Amino acid sequence: MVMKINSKYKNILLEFICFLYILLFVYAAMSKLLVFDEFKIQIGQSAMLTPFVNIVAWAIPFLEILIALLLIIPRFKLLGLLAAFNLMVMFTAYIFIILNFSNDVPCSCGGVIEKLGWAEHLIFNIAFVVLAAVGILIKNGQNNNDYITQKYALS
Amino acid sequence: MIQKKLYILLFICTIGSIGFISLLFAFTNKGPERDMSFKRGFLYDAPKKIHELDLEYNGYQIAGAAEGQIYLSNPKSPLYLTVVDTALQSKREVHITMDQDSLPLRSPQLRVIPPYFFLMDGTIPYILRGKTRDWKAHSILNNPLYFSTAQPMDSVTIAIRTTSSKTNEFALGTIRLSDTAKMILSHKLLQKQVDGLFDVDGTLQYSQQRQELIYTYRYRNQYIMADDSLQLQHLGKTIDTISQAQIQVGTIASKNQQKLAKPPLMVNKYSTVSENYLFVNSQLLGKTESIELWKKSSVIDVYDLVKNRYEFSFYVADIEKHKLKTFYVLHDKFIGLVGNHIITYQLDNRFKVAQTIANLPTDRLIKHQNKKTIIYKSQTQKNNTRLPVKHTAVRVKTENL
Repeated sequence: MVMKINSKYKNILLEFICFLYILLFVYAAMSKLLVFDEFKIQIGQSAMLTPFVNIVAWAIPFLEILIALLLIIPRFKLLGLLAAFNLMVMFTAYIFIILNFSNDVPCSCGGVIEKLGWAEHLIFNIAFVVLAAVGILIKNGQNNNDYITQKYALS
Repeated sequence: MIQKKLYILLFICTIGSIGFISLLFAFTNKGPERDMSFKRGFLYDAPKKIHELDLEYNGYQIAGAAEGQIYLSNPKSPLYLTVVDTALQSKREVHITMDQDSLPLRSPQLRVIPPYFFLMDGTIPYILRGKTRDWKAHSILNNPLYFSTAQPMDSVTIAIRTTSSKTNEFALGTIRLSDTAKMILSHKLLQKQVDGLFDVDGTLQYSQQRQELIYTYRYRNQYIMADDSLQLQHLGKTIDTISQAQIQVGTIASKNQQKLAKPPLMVNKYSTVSENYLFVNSQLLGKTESIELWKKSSVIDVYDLVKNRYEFSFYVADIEKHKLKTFYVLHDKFIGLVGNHIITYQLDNRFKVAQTIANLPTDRLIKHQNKKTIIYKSQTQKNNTRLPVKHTAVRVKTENL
């Protein structure tokens, strides 16, 4: 009984994490695509990304939408969470490097998030990285349980 | 997947992602641009830092300096001036009063050229002028003339840079503040290379000594010298070889805005003029210069505006990892703002010309100069004449000979 309640809460938490990520990525992708020329210029202003402006400017919103789709489809939820985790870690590393080692600090985020300072942005990102990690652990636990029940059901 | 395996996977993902971004940074971070075509000259007896003062605020700008006083303005509260002496020992505040109740704030610029001071904002626009005797500012611009950067030339003429309505590009000009303020523009001084806005950006200065406007381009190796009637006198070259602005401009159609689409190659970040010398903070590393030193200091190149040639360079050290921001030269003192600090460097004797002594008020002359000045004092007392300071000084000299 305790296990069941626990797993119920875990499932709610998992769905909530996925929902947050879908919201974040769809919003982020849309706010980039709606002002695509501006986004491209902002990417170009970052010395680190200047050589790959065209690839990066298209790849980021594309990846964000793709990951949101993966998170919607139950079969690919774990894959989606892993991809989200990786993208968020990369973004956090980028912010950290820009803040500490780069001379120029350009901002390329859109919408409401644009109002965040860089330090707040870093905390925001780390929070999302942790959420993704929690999501992955829960989802993997569920998969394991399903696998065990399936095995017993078969035998 | 087993829990343990999952932890390993997450760990690998984290390391991989961080590693990928770090590698990207390592490959794209080229460090300072090195230009192999020129070599800076550093004096054996280089200018040394003589004073430093923590202002506990990093938003100051140097509004001017004269008679042993440095005037610092704060664009966030332009009516409060901080005044520091050149020895950086004392600090006091000056409150500017106005003939109007409030002042719109967008990008106020303050200039103190005793006996006058100017409070200007070309985006609103307004120009207030007052005397440093009582710090009371009066509005003196009665026509809406817009400008982006300004330097007072005398009490009624302001040198400006503005967007020309004719070309939609930047142009240099002057505003004459008479009953009906008039703007005169020259479309010939700034030479367009890319878009006529970003590529012609630079620092506008006015030399009282030479009665000339000096405009140093930010993205190319040139400075313009023009007289009061905006006639080109000389087109000077800074020591590097970047004659074409290396910038790329992108348009944001939805906002009708233009922005730099990639980091520009900055050549001359900031410059100032003092008497016959131009001081430029260059961003290009020359041949045989140490990268280590470059990373923890800013370089100042000094040009002689009479001979139109490069003289020498010196380094201004960073403070707490902050680089030199803006600077001003008063005779033989180089004054700079570095992070929260104000610093002064001692320049050599060539910057301490006779004329500068003549311009100083009497009491300072007595304090700083030798016997000659004491004679000068007794002379003036005896004759009890009130000749202009400059003339008296010259006369004393000849008598001593």
